[in-house]
Amino acid sequence: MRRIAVGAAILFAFSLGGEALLRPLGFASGGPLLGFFALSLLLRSGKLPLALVEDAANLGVRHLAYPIVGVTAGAVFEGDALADAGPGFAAAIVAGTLAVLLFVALVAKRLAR
Amino acid sequence: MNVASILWPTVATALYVGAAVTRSKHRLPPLLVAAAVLAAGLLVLQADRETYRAAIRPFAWLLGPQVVALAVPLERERRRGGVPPESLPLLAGSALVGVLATLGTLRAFHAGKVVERTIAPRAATSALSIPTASALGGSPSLAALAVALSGLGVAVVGPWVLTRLGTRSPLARGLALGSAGHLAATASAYEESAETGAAASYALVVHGVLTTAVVWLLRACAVL
Repeated sequence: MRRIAVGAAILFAFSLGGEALLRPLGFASGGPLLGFFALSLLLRSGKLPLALVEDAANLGVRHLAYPIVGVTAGAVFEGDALADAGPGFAAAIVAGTLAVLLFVALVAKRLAR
Repeated sequence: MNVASILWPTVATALYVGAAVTRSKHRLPPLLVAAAVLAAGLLVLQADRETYRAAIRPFAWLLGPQVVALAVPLERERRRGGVPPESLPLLAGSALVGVLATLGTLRAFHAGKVVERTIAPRAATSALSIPTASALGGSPSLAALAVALSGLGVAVVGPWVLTRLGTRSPLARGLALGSAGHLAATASAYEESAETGAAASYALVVHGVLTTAVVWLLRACAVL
């Protein structure tokens, strides 16, 4: 339990640190990604032991979907916005998603051979 | 503090835990079950939209550390030699394909600039696409909906589509699920195997960054 708490504190610190660095530069997004890259570099160089964050990260990764339950259910409130956006909205989501899924699956399948 | 600010997060948590614990019985992604039941509850109880949004806002704080946490399985996978270097150009290509397919379809439907700016970054994970859509002048709520719909769609039907395509390699399945379906599909990928999940995590992050870069590039070229 203590290892999870320590690991979670480190993960939060990297996320908040990334946001604190990027916000003054005018970037509205990407703080957690900066934290991700910083943690990756430290783990890769061995300056931060993997064991220190592993338990907390495993828990977070196992339940990646948990924080988006609320926002996903909240889509029921977007009926009007959806109607305004028109059928192009749904068609673009389907086309864009399928294009990526098929492109990556077929090319990666060839690479895997 | 009103009742809703405690009620909705508690209900969302209870539904997610319940759906995850009973997964072996219903075999559906916990996100799908929990979100569907919660959405039905919101409609039946005629919940207030702004009160609900304020109540679930604390969940967003967890997204950042979870994105950071993806570094751990990736590092484990790197030490194992799991994700080959060819994956990077593949994901660069997929980011371009995803944005262009989305924009092309929107233009065919004459959807307008605001919708284009809202949905163009959709192929990146919500931690990136929602602020990007907002910064471009799009609608953050519609961006959230677009990410949720594509993520859920891939989480539910993605594994089936990949099996039908004959894509059995855990690496290929993980890369496809993570790049097309964000966090929701990455969660599904981890349920297949640790190797599939690690590849999906890698794709989620790399594809997300590259998609955001493509969108800003198109904006700089006045295409968006």
